[in-house]
Amino acid sequence: MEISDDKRIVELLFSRDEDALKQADAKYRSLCLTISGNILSDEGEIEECLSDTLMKLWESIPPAKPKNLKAYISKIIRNVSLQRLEYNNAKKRSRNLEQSIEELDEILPDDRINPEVIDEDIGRAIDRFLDTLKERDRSIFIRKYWYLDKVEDIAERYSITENHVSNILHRTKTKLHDYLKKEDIYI
Amino acid sequence: MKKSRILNAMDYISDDKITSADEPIRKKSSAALALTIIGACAAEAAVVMLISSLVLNSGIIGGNVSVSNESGAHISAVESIMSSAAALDSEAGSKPYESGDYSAADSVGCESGISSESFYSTSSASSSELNGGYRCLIDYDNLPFEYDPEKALPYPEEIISYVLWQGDSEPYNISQVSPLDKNSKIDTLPVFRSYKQKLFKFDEVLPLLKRIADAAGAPLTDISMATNYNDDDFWYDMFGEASNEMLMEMNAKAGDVSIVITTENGLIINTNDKGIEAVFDALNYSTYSDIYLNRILNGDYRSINDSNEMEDKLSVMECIGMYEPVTPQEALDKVRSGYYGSGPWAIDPILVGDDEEITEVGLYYEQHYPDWSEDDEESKKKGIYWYEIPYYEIVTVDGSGSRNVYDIPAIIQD
Repeated sequence: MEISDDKRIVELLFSRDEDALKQADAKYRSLCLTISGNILSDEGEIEECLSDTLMKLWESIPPAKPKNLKAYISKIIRNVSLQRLEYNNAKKRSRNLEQSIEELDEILPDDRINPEVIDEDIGRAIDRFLDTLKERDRSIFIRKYWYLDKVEDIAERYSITENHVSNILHRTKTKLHDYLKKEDIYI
Repeated sequence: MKKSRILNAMDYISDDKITSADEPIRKKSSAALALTIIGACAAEAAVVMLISSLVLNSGIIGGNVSVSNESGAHISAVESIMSSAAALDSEAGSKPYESGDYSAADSVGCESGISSESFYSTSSASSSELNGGYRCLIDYDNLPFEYDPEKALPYPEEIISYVLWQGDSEPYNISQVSPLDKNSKIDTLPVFRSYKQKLFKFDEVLPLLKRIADAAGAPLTDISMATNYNDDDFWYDMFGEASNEMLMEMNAKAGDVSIVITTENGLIINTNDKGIEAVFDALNYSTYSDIYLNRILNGDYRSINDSNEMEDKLSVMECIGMYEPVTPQEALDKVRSGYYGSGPWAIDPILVGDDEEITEVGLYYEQHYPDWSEDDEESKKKGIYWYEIPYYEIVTVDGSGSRNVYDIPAIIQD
């Protein structure tokens, strides 16, 4: 049902029917607000990011024809929110985002030290690494570092304690660090 | 800069993974609950945790089985059954233990009816009288249930035991884990080891677990299995709120070992004494032979480690069969309240029935008669082993709520 909804939204976008945006908003509003809210702290800005996201959806489809509309719109709102963040001072940054970045900062290669490694290489390596994880651990990692969820929210989502989430993330990062080394991606 | 690199890199995570991570989590309902196999046996002066004990044959399936929902709460029916059985146990306590009853037991069979309470009250004072250096086997010919070997589950003659061993290396060392086999040499404790040293693969046991779960009204949906030290669940569940640093330290020490453990999320299985040792080392115990759990059960855990820090670390108590991390006092209270019995033995919920129908659910009382006195020369002469099982007592309730008590005599062998 959900997939057919997405197909319908994409079809409406292709036919330039503005009802597509209403449907996308209805279906993905909550998800978008969550993602954006994990990055930004100002509710007004978050709403603006959602509007921008819908606008980009309208502008990019067509020609884009995403197979996975949920991921597609998630990426848009995430990037829009991150771009918005660029204009903000540190006080407006989500503490959650800062924390997530700092955590990954320890294990990912520094572009100043290892500039020949491009972001895409690292991203693809991380993606392959995630294939090696158990589903729950993979999802927890993504919730933390892609959706930028708070640990407490992840804990609630998976019905485990916050400390358990932290432990899983800690070990996953350690594994990722080792994995990147094997892939010749050094810090 | 680096921050943007991180964010950019994360953008290359595949769409499927992103959407998958946002899928609703399947919540375990009361109709689809996790199976927890738990149990605890804390012997008098050393600790052996009998995580589970299963009697495998078509007539009786015994095992430490409990059913809990995601928050660890018990299915009321199971709890009721356990309470009922505990009450029966209390009633049985009206029959006093008489010293020497069991040391006098000869070739076959034992008197039954001794209560956990009465046993407990006397065992510490007269452990040397309780033993005879016997090995015990279930007398299948005299089971109170119909028993058809042809319909038996795999390895019908055996009792599967999940043993988390923690004790002195001598004389209660790993080689003596099996009470049924004097010559057993268990260098490590495989995941599913029967008393006859047969190693069970998880796949072999899984059907049994499913049957138990189904019969208990809890479809088996959430058994997780950890087979090595890297498993997050194990380390977490073992240590609860312990710090990451401590966990990592233990990982480093543990090497490729595993330990038997269970959690509210299912059956977490690891096993190995080295793993235990690493665990205890990390907890700042001098050695894992500190028999600390037993002391905890006796309420004097502070004698092990004067630091209040100890209390914080004792979510490890979970491993003795609590459904969730508890403080030592809570664990003690639970044990003493009779929830898991009041003495040093396992109380193992069982199911009675056949392949088609489980007719009764109850508890399987495996009486352990410990003698831990290393210096007891008299005991040594008698060839005392770390415990014996003179009889098995099973208390069940059936569909009508009627209680049934079965005493299954053990075959005592010299």
